[in-house]
Amino acid sequence: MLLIGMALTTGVALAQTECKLKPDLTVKLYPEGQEVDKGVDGLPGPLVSNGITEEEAINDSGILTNITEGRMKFFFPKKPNGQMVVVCPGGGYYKVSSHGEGLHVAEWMIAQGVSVCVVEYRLPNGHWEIPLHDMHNVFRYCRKHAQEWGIKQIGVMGFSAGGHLAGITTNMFVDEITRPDFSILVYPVTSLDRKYATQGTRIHLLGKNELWERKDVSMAEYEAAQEKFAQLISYYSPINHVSGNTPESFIVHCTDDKRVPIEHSINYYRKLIENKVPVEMHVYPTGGHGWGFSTDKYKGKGKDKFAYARDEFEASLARWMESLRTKIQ
Amino acid sequence: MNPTKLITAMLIATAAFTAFDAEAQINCKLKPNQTLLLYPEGQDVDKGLEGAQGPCVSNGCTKAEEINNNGNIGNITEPAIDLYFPKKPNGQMVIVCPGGGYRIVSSWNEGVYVADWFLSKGISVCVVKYRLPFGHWEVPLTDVQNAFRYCRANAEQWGINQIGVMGFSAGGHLAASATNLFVDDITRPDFSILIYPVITMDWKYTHKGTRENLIGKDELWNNKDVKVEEYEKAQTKHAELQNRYSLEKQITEKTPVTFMAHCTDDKTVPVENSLMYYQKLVECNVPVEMHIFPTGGHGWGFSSEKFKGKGKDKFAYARDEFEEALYRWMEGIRK
Repeated sequence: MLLIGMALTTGVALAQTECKLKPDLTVKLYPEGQEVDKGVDGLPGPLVSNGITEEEAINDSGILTNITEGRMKFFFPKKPNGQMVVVCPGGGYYKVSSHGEGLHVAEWMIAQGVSVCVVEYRLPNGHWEIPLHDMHNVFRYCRKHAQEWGIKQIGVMGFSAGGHLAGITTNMFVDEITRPDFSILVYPVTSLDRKYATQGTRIHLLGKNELWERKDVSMAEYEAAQEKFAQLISYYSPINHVSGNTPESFIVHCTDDKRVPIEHSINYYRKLIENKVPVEMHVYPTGGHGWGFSTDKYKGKGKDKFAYARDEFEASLARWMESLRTKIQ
Repeated sequence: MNPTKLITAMLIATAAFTAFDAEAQINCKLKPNQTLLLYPEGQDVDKGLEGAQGPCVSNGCTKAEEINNNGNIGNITEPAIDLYFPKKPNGQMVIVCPGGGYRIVSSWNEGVYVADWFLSKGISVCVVKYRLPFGHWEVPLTDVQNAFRYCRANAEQWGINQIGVMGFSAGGHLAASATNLFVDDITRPDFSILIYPVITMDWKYTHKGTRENLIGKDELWNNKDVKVEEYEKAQTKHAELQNRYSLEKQITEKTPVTFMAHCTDDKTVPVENSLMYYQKLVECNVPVEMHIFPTGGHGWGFSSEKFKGKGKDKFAYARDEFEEALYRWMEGIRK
């Protein structure tokens, strides 16, 4: 336990300044735990367990690990403008970056009058159905309570692996309730194809390569595993599900992102325009990966690699969201 | 031709141009500090400005130059550069190539208005009224390279230490040509700004007029009414030209740092032109920034409401962001 804590701390060298914002409401998706087939408010239960037995932990950068309890953290502005964003923080599906891509996003959004639901989704631990299942339940819950909160439009937003989750949520909805009204993808993983070098996300979602390539089994079993693996890679690639019914999208990425190659956004954008989905995309020259909403305010002066373009990015996003709002209301 | 016929012909010509952009734009009071003809003795004499070179070949156009009430210039045979200097030059200069499908030069929307904006930022401007090619593919690039030669030769006295290129639409094709087909350090731009550029000659994504005005119609190259040898020679040359003027194929590590902007709903030049170019830049490790706005269509240039009139700028909703990004990027690369 101690060792894991240390490993996480060294992963993010600089602790971030604490953000004082607290959620107005925290709701567990499965109040009786993931072994009981019950969901909050009569919603569907946990489907399967992620099988994680270690205790959940958080480091001082807000990185959560071993999440077994999916939850929603709600933030409401004083004057709700009618929009809500369901936020999926990233972390390669083995952690959830709950500050830089969660809490800090909420702070910015509520300043715009936008209500926020940050999802601390269950980590899949090789159980690929889990994160999307949790997201569907989140949308069901939010739609159910939208009117009482003064919400008319609910979109999804995600970062990195959370961008993958937002990407599948954007495209793999099962009805009008689970279909986001808009989609914001920030340095997203849009494909699990092996050529894109985002191994971490794939491994934690679908399981380690070794599991799929076991050779101490019969040839038929081996081939069946290979086929299933290929199918899953294809199925869990948001880019393969884009259609004319994909909601309006906003994409941001940096050219020098070495973790998630820019092709993820470019090729996804291409798919959107092929399907005539309205879309805006900004590709900034530098900033790398994972800059989230951690401004100098949280990180400390001079430590935000994306500081040079942050104002522009925020202005574009705010203008885009406002244009969607006026379109619908 | 009797006077009545002449006037009728002129009216028809004007009408044709006016149809290109229905609304006349508000005039801009800005005047260049200096206008210079690139070839003072015309395009049939191999002479250029001091420090620059001659016209290479003639574009063969014999009609008189004309300008419509949107500042679109046709039949250009006498190329010129308009130089604009700010009160306090910041050391940067942009050589601007307006667009117009290599059929006209949109000298206001993508010329003088651009100059007006850059000047307010302390950036010097050279707008190129390049010769239209009429199938003579070497012509526009020759003119832009001569603009570079002249500007580099005079840079020091103007207080300039960095000269980049900027282009719109077919002018973006010309700017991308200058960006990649430079012949020495003098003609190599220090930076490149491409706005809804035509990049490729590939029929799948190219702009028809731009392609045909630059390298000629396919029929010209596919003429079978000649000897086999000649036909094959034409085929080879055509392939060579399509390759040379598909700028996504000309990018190398030496391509200068680049800024791009395009709109998703551009129906004239598909956004794929920018995407394929951007990807090649990334492959070659060229630093690049790209903004793709959802709407605005094609040809929004620098015609803000200030010039077009209130409510007439389809790009108004994002213009401030675009200008802020461009200026921040220019400042970021300034020496």
